Amino acid sequence: MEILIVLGIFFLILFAIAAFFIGDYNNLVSLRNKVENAWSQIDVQLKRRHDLIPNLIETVKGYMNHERETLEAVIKARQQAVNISGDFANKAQIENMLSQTLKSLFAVSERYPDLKANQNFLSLKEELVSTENKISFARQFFNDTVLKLNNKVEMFPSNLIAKMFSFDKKEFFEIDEPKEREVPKVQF
Amino acid sequence: MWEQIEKNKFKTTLLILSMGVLFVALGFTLGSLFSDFTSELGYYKEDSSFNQYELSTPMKESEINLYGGLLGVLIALIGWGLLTITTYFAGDKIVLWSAKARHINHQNHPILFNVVEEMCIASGLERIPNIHIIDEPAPNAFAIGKDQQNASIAITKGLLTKLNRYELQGVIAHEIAHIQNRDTLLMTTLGTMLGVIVFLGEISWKSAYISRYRKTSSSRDNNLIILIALLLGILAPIFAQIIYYATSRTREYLADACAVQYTRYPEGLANALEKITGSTEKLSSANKVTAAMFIVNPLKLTSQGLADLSSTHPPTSKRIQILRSLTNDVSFKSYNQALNKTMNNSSNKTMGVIPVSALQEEEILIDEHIDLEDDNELNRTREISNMFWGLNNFIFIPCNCGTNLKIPEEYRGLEIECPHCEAKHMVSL
Repeated sequence: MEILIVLGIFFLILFAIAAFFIGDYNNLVSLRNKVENAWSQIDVQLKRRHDLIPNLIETVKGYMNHERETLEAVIKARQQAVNISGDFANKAQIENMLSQTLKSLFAVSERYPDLKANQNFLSLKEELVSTENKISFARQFFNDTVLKLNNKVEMFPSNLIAKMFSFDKKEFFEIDEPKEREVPKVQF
Repeated sequence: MWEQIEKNKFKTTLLILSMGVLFVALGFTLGSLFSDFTSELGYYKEDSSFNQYELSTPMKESEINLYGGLLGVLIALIGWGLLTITTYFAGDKIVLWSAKARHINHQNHPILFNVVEEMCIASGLERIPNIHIIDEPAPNAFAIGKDQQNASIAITKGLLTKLNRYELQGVIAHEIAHIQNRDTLLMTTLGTMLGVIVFLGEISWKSAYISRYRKTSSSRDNNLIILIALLLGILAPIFAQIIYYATSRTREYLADACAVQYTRYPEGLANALEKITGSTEKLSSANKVTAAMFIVNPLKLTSQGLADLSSTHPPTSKRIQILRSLTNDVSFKSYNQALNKTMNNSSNKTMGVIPVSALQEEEILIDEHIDLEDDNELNRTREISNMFWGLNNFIFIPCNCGTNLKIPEEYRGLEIECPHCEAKHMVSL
C-alpha cells in the first residue's frame, strides 16, 4: 500500500515536470516560428521597396533635372541593397542607407510644385512612406519577439530545454540611427 | 499575448455562464407565467379551437408551473441558440450592414489601407482585416469578427477626415488590439445575450403587470410567480447590462494599452480620442447593443452622474489622461501605474485590466515622431469625398482649369461642359 502511494506521488511529480517541459518546449517553438515569420515580413517589405524605387525614379526623372546626384545616390543605394546577400548587420546598414537617400529625395522634391501635383508621384510617395513605416514596425515586432525568445533561452528553467533542443539566441535587427539628416535649405 | 487570450477565454466562459443563469431564470419564470395563462384559457374557453388546452382534469398548480417553466427554458434556449449561431456566423455582416458600412479596397483609400497594414505588422496579426467605411460625419470606429481570420474594421467618414496619420494609426491600433485580444467575439456574443435578456425581461414584467388584472374568480394563487416575473423582468436586464458594460470598459483600457505598444506613440491615440469627443455630431447608426463596439461611446449621455455603471466605455477624459501621462515608457507596467494614478488607486493592483503576467515586462520606449508635413483637413475632406464619388461609380474628368468633373454613371450625353471655364469634354463611358 505504502509503495503504491510513493509510486503515485513519484509519477505525479514526473508528470508535472513533463507537463512543464512540454509547455516550455512548445513556447520556445512558437517563439522561434514567430521570429522567422517576423523576419520574412521585414524581407517582404524590403523587397517591396526595391520594386517601388525604379517606378519612382522613372516618375521624378522628368521633373528633377537638376538633382542628378540625389537620384543617382538612390539608384546606387538600391543596387547595393538588392545585391547584398547573407550578412545580417551589413544588410541592416545598407538598407538604412537606402532609407536616408530616399528621405533626401523626398526632401528635395518639395522644391518642385509640378511634381508635387503629379498624382502618380503622390501615390508612389504614399506607398514608399508606408513601406518605410512597415519596415520599422516589422523590425519593432521582430526585435520584441527576439527579446522574448532570448529571455526564454537564457532564463531558468527554460534554458535547460533550450540547450537540450539547441534553441539559439537570435540577433536583433538593429540600425544605429544617425541623426535625422538636415533637410536641405532652399537658397534663393 | 497568448496568456491574455487564455485569460480572456476563461473570463468569457464565466461571463457567459452568469448571463446564462439570468437567462434561464427569465425563461423559467416566463414559461410558468404563460402556462398559467394558457391553462386559464383551457378552463374558460372550452368552446374555442384551443383543443390541446382542454384539460379534463385540472393539474395541480405547482405541476403546471414546473412544466411550463421547463418549457419556457427550453423555448428560450432554442431561441437563444439559434440567435447565437446566427451571430457567430453572420453577426459581423449584420452589424456592418446595420451600420451602413461599405467595404473598400486599396485604391479607394490608400492611406487608410496602408495604416491598417502597418498596424497589423506591428501587432503580428497575420491576416489583414476587411476595411469598411461608414458615410457619417460623426467620428467613430469599430472592429468586429469572430476571430482573427474573419475580422473587419469600420471607420466613419468623419473620423477619417479629422485625423492625421499618427492619430489614425492610434485608432487603428486600438481596433487591431480588440481583434488580437478577441474582444470582438466576446462583445458580440455578450451583446446578443444582452439583447435577448432585455427583450425577455420586457415581456416578463409587462405580462406580469397585465396578469394582475387578468386574475379571475378562480382562486388560483399565482401571486408569487407574478412577483418573481415582475422583479426578474426589471432586474435581469439591469444586471445583464452591468456585466456587459463592465466587461466592455476593461477591454477598452486593455486595447488602449496594447495600441500604444504597437504605435509606440501615445500622443497619437490621445489626440484622436480628444478629436472624437470634441465633436458634437451623433452617430445615427449605433444603438444600445452595438455601442460597446465603438472606440468611443457613440451614444453620448448628457449627465455623467449615472454614467459610471451603465457606460460602455471608461470616461474618455480618463483614457486621454492616462495616455498623456505615458511620457517615456509604454509597457503594460507603466500603463498600469498610470491607470492606478488616474483612478486614485493607491495599491498597485491591476484592477482586472492588465493581466498580472504581463506586468513583469521590461521598458518599451516611445519612438521619436517628427511632425507630419501635410496635416491638412481640407485635403483629406476632398480625398474622401472623391472616394465616395468613386464608390458610387462616378466618372472623373479632370479639366485643364483645375476642376475635377464628376459624372454619374447614368449620364448619356457625349459631351459635357466644365462649369468653370466652359471647356468641352468628351464623355467616354
